Amino acid sequence: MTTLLQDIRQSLRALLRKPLFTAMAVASLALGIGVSTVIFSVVYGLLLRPMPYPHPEQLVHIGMGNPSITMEGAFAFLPPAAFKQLRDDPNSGLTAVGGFGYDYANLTGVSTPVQLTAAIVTTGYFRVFAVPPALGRVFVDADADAPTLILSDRIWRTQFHADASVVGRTVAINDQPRTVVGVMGSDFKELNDGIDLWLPISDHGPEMAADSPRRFETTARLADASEAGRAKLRACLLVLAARLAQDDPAHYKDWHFEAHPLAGNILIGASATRALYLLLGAVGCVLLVTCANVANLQLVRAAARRRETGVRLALGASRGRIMRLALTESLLLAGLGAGLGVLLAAWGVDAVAALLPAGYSPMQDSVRLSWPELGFSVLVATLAGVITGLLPAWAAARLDPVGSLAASAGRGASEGPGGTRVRATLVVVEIALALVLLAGAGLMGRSLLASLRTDVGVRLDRTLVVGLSLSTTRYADRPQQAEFYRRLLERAAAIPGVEGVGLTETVLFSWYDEFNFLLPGQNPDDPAARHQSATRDSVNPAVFSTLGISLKQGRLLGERDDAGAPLVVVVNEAFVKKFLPTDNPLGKRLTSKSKTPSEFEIVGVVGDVRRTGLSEAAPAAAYFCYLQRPSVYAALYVRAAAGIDPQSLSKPVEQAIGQIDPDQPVGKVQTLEQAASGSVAYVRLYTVLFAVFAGLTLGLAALGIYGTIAYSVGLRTREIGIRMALGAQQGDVLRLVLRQGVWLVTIGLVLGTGTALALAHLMTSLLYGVKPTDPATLAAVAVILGGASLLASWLPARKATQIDPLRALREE
Amino acid sequence: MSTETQTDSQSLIHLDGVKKVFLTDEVETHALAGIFLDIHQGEYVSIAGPSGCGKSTLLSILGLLDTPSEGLYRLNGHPVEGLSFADRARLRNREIGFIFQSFNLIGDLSVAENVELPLTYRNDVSSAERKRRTTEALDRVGMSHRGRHLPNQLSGGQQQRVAVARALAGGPSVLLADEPTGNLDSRNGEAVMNLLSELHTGGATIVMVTHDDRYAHRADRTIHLFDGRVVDDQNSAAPADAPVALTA
Repeated sequence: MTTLLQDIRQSLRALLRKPLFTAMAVASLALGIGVSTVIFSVVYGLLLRPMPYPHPEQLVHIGMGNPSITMEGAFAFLPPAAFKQLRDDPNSGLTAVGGFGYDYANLTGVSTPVQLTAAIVTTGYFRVFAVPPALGRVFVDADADAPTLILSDRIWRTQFHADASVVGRTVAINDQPRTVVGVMGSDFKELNDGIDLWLPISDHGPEMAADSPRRFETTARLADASEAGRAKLRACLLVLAARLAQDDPAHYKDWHFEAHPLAGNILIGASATRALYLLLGAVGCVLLVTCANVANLQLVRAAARRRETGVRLALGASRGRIMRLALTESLLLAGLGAGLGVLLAAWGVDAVAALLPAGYSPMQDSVRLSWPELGFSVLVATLAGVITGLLPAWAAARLDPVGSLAASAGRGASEGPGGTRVRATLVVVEIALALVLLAGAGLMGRSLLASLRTDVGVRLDRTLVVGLSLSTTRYADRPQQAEFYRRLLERAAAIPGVEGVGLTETVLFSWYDEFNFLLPGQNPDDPAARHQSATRDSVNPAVFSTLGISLKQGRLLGERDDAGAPLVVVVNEAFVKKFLPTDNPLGKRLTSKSKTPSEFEIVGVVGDVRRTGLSEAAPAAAYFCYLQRPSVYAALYVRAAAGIDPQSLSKPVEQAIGQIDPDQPVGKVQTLEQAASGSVAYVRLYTVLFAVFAGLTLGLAALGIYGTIAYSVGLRTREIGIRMALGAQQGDVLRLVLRQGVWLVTIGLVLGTGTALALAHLMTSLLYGVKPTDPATLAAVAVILGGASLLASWLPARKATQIDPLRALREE
Repeated sequence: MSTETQTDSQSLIHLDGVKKVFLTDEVETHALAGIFLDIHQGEYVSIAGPSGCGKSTLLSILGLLDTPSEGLYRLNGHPVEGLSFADRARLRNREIGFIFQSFNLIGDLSVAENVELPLTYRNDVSSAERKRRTTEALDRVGMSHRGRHLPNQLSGGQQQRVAVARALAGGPSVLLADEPTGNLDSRNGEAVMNLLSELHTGGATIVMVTHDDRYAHRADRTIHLFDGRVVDDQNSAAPADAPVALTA
């Protein structure tokens, strides 16, 4: 023990004596450990941290899958019939089953009505999570048919001033009185972010009817979380799926249930999960490059300390002791690096958490630096210490004591070809890894650019979007809804500075409703018609001109397509391509699949709109006239005249809504550009992070090659002196030194390109408009990396040309 | 003194036909061409010879830093040629004390720590014992007052005295000195040689490589090497008239 303490003391002293070396090594390690900790904190917070519920291992997420419909790794929410069968099955081994669906809820009867995001939940929902409320109680079965609600902590504070007596009070939601029975605490996390209140759903209401379009995101709690309990659930789900397919083949044939442990990957989805693990891999590369750099520094230092090591060996130190001393020093460096890295991570974690797009995950505020993340830092630091110390320690322990002592006496001072080869190999690895990261960043950047440059099918500029959700009480029937929109469009169009107004059912680039239909000649049992759907929008005729959606065939909707006129629909090109590729779509009739089917004649075909996101293909779309098929949900588009800031129109639009109906709350107000940009927020985040990591790696690789070439020049000073004495020109010396750098860079680039191509498939799902093996991107990053590396080689090469031959020869 | 080397099982150091061949690319260099030598406890032996005659190679083999290509070497009666690296390190630590031409003190360690260093490589010496032996060794060379100083704060002569203390601290069977005055001026060189003489008088066995005849003759016995062979081995009191080949 005392000898270990001695080693630590000696190592510390040795490091303090070489402040430049120590600073470089510690700074490199701090960067590597810091960025690793930051991304691990994000991955841990979003994917790995145990969910904040009692016995989280008992929780499962249950969805449905169909190989021909749902993508791999994705799942569908449960229709009411499937949900109820699962919930009521005594053989499932579940103690609670909860269903969740989104809705809007207008809080009225207050000075300023507010549009809130509501969760429509079954009464078993809170039993699944088993988190007690901060005030009052959670739902009980009796609430299913009672007008009750539970408030979120945020709404309790902002709308009810954190009044504890709110429990038992009656508030108006969608103009209907409901009693507040509880308030959930701020620490209650659920499947989706931004829920303002929870409303219970009746088992006997239309939302739970077999033909209801409502789908439930389903969570459940296992009585037994062991493999036996899970097997029991799987067996039950198999039986249930078979029963559903038998009872209702039109809806359930080929569908199966999927049960997964409730964890972060369920909340953010397969694509985001893959992106986070790719980022973790990227920082792993940064860390490896850091380690290679520090190992290189240590090898140089070990070479410079051969005499000391030789003395220790001569005095009887075993190879183990020599290795231990070298490892102690490298672990101390890693420890110092980790200390600084954690400080860096403390800032970095907050910065990256702030960059996460809103709604990325309900676990977003779990991204922080706590004990597990610090434990990761310690682990990484230890690994880095061992990795960076092992080569120098091994080199020191293998040192020939006679040779090293002879070196001290001026007889043979070089490190030997082995050390040079190892350091050159490390530099090659650094360059190869840097190329992989640069390629990743380049591809993400090009993907982002392609997304931003893509023609989304609508004009994004000068347009304000206002979300609306009408009260189903005051606007219970279609004429009432249509009349509200007619007056709103009229008033909005009259606002000075407004060039045009449009209406859709939901905000572009956010969610959408589906139109399930039958083509001419199809019947509901037709397998092709089973899952036939398009996006559905209830629009005003002017929306096409306001948003710049072009007419391709037939006519647009018009004011004459009112409630008394024949039902019509306009579809987009994607619809025609998908469902009517060989027919003239005009005049074809689509029959809605609903309790009371209606027939709509296709009167026009318009251009495609990428409404699900800039980097997504345009879905098949059906546009109905709001006068014939209005909806309680709406998005109002107000296009400003040239030179007018669309944001400046928000106040007048809100006033117009208030003038029509003082109790009608205004939903989210944003520009169309903001709405579109939100859909690429993830890509932007990944691109920024990849670029930062790639930049770091590029810098470290350049530093590595500079150090290696500079050291080599130092060793060859006499040789260069002799060459110059014999008449070598500066250009000859420059070429001599640069040749070494060019070789390292070339090998590194070739290896890196091969690795990047081999790993390219991992990025496929994250890219848009660019192939993961895009030759232009690979060529560009190779040029950038090659240029930076050659510059790093040129600096010491230039120094070599300035060697004074007389002095170099005299030094020997 | 007889010029014929005899095998003696009581020798502290016994070399029997030791050869050392270095292979560099395809060139063989015979650094030692067959050394027969016995050194007894308490002897003060100097090894002399021209540059490249194999003095340093012989000292490296005697100090267990290197192994013979051929021949037998017994240290304190134990054959050492078959020992592993670790066993040689252990034996070197206990039996050998090195004194180098360029002192080879470790710059990051204090004087006392340098002296203590060989003891830290033993598991059976307590911390208190290490301190006691360090102080004692420094006392013997008159450097105990500089224990906290760093090597670069000392003169060359003082550094060599510390190096001698380091060699003594482990209580070795033999001190091996490689040109101990080579980096010192004549005054300091004289002082170090006086110190070695004192140690010898106190019973230490010393083997010293030197090319300086003044110091070579301070030893009881001088061995001359030429082309990797012992060409003269005599007591300093009776210098040889001419080199005589001792071995076949």
